[in-house]
Amino acid sequence: VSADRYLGAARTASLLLLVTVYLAVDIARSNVPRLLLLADARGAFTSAFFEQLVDDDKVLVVRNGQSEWWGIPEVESRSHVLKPQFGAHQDVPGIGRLFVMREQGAKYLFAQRRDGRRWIATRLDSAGAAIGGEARLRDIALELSLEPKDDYHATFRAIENELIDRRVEISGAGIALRSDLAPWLIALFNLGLLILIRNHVRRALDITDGEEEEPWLLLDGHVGLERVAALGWLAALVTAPWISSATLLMTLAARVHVDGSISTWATDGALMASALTLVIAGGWVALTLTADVVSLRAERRSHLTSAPAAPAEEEPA
Amino acid sequence: MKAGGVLHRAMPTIAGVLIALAICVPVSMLVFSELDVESKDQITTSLVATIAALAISGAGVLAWCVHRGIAWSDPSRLSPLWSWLGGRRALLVGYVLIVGAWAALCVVLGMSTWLELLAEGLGPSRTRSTAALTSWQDWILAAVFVATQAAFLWSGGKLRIGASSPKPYRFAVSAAIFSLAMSILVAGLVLAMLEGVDRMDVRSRPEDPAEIGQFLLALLLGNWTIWLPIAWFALRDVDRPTGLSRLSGMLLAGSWIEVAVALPIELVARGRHENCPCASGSWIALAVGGPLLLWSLGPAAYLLYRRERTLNARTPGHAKRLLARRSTKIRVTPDVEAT
Repeated sequence: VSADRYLGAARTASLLLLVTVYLAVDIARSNVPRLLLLADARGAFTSAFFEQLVDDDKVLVVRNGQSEWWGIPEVESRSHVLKPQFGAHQDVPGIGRLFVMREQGAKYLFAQRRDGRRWIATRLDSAGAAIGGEARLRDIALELSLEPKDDYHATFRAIENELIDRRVEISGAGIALRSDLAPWLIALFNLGLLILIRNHVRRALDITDGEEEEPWLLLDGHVGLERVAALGWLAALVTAPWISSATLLMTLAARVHVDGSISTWATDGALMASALTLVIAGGWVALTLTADVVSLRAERRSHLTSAPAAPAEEEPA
Repeated sequence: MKAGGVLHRAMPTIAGVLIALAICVPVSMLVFSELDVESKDQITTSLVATIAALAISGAGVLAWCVHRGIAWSDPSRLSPLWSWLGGRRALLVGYVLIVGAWAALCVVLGMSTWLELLAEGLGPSRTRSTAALTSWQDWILAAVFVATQAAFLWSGGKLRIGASSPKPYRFAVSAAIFSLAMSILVAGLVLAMLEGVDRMDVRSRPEDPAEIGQFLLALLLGNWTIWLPIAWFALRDVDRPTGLSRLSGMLLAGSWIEVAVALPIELVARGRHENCPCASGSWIALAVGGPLLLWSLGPAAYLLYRRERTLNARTPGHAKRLLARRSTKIRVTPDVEAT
């Protein structure tokens, strides 16, 4: 295989990499504010839920049309919330099973959705509590261009559906991804692309001696604006894995915060270790790729600027 | 390559991972754990078991490394990049400019301490003081900043980068500074990750400042004793430039990774700590990682510059090749030449 084909493939892959990095930034810019809005909505829902309680120390549970009073269990730590097999709960269609518990004086609402996802929230803070939970839910619904319902359960259901269940569509590719999984997939995809580009550049470096192969501004821009563009392209390749890892960390941190950090140490450790691995691996591949590109640039330049061999004179017949 | 060779090369990495785990797991569980009284015994047992397992396996790997010697990964892979960067005197000038711009920004933005630019600049906005760089603490900080850089490069010998292989104790100062800086970086990284998974519970902190101080001291000393052997492995049987470059590279990479992790987390988490920014783990990580990144850039830039100078002096034709690389030749065809 000639160096041409390797360089052509590397150039195409580098363009694809830049597009996916833009996509990652775009998704994070959209995701993080939406997740923070979801946290706000959950706080508002919790406020609305507690505003309905008649007795501050008890929860009214309606089962089969009959009302029952349940005491709110006092727990020492939120780690116990992982197994909320005790205490009062309500099954709210579309929202999940709701538990109420108290920790160090603060009351929490714990929700377990049908799809297995869980979250915990407390009332809105003092600044947010200036308006009631229901009113705040209405505001959030209007912010999302949703029609507020009379029942705050229905309003919250619509908000959660809009913010969680809507998938990220990648136009042109016909792919729709879950918004919390998209940054992981993009970060992995970018790492793969970087490895692919490095492999192609390294193979081209092995094969070629700097002959004029496939044109690529990254390798051939040595003067003026071409040089600036080439270095900019190189800088974009170097920073690509850092940027996609950063978007991943942002989404991960926002997601954990919104759900209320109810996962186990093992889950948290695995998530952060995976993200850290992506950061380090991406950085290493980007650095070595830069070194290879610098080598190839030097070889190409050396070949381009060397004096051409004198043409062989035709021998007289 | 033989399987034994691959294993030999991978051993330092395995040792590093095990040591890092031995640091991270207990630190993360101890510092901000949300333990309650009932489960403390159980957690303590599992914690001791984890530490013991990691320590035994780490000690085994280290013993193997001592017995067989350490094969660090081939440094030539990044050599073209270092040559490219080191061939520019602008690197040193750029570093001085960055430090100057950093200090100037602190003055303009009214930072209370000139080393806190990254954390303060990204943290929640609040009323800032205007006493930046006017207090004697700032001048002491600046003096310590430069003095530790010089001490790191001096490394117990003359302030000269030579090719000789010095005795290990000659690196004592560099190794001590490296170990301390890496300890701080690891602690900051763990705090940033705890913030990332929202496990920085302010309420679980001890209220007595003396207790916090003692704990931080123990944490730093503990990490210090772990990083010292790593520094010793990195410096064993190598000449001074190689040894210092390894330490400097690890510091630069560590601080860069910490900033790369802490920065996005802080951007998300800063809204939660508007009233008290320093309660955020990512804020603390940026507060220590930013200055350490700035600090480690200095020795790295200097060593790169010296490396290129040494190559110039020792390698025949190096300067000529460098000149040719930076020059643009014009092709002259035989016809033009004839005219």
